[in-house]
Amino acid sequence: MKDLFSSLPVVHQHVSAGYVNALIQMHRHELFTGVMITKYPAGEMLASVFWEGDHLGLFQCLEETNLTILRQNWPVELDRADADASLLALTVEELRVFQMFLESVTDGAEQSLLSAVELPTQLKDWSSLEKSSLVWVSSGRFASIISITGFGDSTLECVDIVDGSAHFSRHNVNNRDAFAGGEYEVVRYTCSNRQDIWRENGLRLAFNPLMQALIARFQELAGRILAQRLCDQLSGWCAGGGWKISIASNGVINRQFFVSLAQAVRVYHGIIKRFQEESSLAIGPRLAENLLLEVLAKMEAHSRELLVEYLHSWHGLGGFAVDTRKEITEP
Amino acid sequence: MRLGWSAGQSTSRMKWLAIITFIVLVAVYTYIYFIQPFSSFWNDLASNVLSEIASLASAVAATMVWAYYEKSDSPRRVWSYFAFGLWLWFAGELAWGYLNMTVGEVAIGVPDFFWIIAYFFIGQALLEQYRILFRPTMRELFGRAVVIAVSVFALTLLVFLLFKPIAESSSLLETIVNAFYPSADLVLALAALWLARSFQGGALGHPWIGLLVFTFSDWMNAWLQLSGIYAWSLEQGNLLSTFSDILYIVAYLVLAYGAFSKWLFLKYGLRPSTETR
Repeated sequence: MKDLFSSLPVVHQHVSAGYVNALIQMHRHELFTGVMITKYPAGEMLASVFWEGDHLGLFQCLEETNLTILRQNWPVELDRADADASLLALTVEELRVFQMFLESVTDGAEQSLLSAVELPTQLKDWSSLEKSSLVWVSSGRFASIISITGFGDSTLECVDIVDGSAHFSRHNVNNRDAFAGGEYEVVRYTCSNRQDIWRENGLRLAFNPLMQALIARFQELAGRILAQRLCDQLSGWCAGGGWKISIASNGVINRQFFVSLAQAVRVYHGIIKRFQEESSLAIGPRLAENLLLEVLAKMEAHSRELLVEYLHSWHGLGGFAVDTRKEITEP
Repeated sequence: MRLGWSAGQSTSRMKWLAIITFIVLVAVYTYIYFIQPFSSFWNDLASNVLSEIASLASAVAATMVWAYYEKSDSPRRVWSYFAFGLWLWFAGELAWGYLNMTVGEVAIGVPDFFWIIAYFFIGQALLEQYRILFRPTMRELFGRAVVIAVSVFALTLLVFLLFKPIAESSSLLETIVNAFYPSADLVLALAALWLARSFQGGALGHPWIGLLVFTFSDWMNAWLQLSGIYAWSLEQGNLLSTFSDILYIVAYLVLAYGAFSKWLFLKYGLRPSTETR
């Protein structure tokens, strides 16, 4: 996936290994969020991922896939002279899409040349498939990376890269605006959505509508003031744990970058558990549990399965998961 | 006024204040009933005023809950009907108290008009609560309303037949009205308990419990009135009549406490434990 970073301008040319390390230290100090690419004369390309100054990952970019480099090997891999370094500062939403490209194990890649009119139709077709897709689109100075969750989910998360800066956008594939005229080089990488990175992504996409529906229903039962206080409690709990997730009656703002699926599951589970505890004080535990089941039953099948699977894996909600399955299978 | 109490402390202290006030009210009522410290007129007046205070407390507490909700909140509709019903009950109490003080024995009339109309609004409040909880279709909602109406009618008929042998001196209308109260109370209380089951363990389910106490109180009251045992003044008082009247104001106070504790929860509930008022 070397194409991913081909359009980035080089900011440091022919630098030593020591200078690369100094750059990493500087990014730590500046709490940099984004990707640093180092290209070497032999054609190797390494991508370092930073989240608020933490150097979270190092990947070797190959033609059709990427390799994750184990942390103990980082000093050896980065200890090379004559590197060209490029930088791309990213927001959390953009970093998530890049992380998908870097971490996903792809099944294969298919290249095509599509017109601006054909491209949205093609994206729509790919999004209707069960498999996840990562799409690289480029035309002249414009490049875009698009993640498609699969399972027929119509959400597209795109990061457009123009002149070395990134711009995130989220679209419904059915309403995706036409691309600007001309032809696009398109590379589609297919991958299994059973991978942890895709599961975490799916969980995040499912968690937002789940919480929104839970809060809306709670508001219906208990009124706006209590719903607002419940949101404040949940947001306060997230902030107390250092998680950048805020919950409001009109939705969830999730600006947290999780380093693993387990961490994401722990936090999402914690929020739902907290929601149940707090809402139980107002509406009783029975109604709080029914509320969760009711909302889950109305969600799209793949989102529901994902939520049930991961909530079930945590103690205390075993009965909940079993009940949900029972409810779902009932006619 | 800021007292520096946490939300939990405020709730707990105000609940205790309400409980103590209500206990004092019942104790004073019981004292007046048994000891009769004043002249006959003043004893009757004091007992009537205390009943009206209890009724007023429940109407005010329900109105406080109604006022705390915002206009777009669904529960506000429940509490608008419920509070209005309780205000009608208070109007009935006032009318009954006035007639009791002026004519003594109160025949079926103006107070019953207020009390009976109030059941429609309280029933409507329960239907609204049902609608919010279960999101029924219009057909299902209509079905539940019919079930409530038919249950009240059937039970009133049953109680009427039960009371008829002991109500020799009462008119037909008087027997029907006295059969209606406990029947309507029972049906509404059961419907309320069924709804409160959903809120089991939650603060928002408490107010409905007060309706159940009314069932016992009205059963006893109807039986005493139709059998001629009921004492229309404290001077003629007897133990059963006293117990029935005490239970009657206790029912109002339980209702008031339920609504007040709900208001406290709306005001202080789900706040961080460290937040002070």
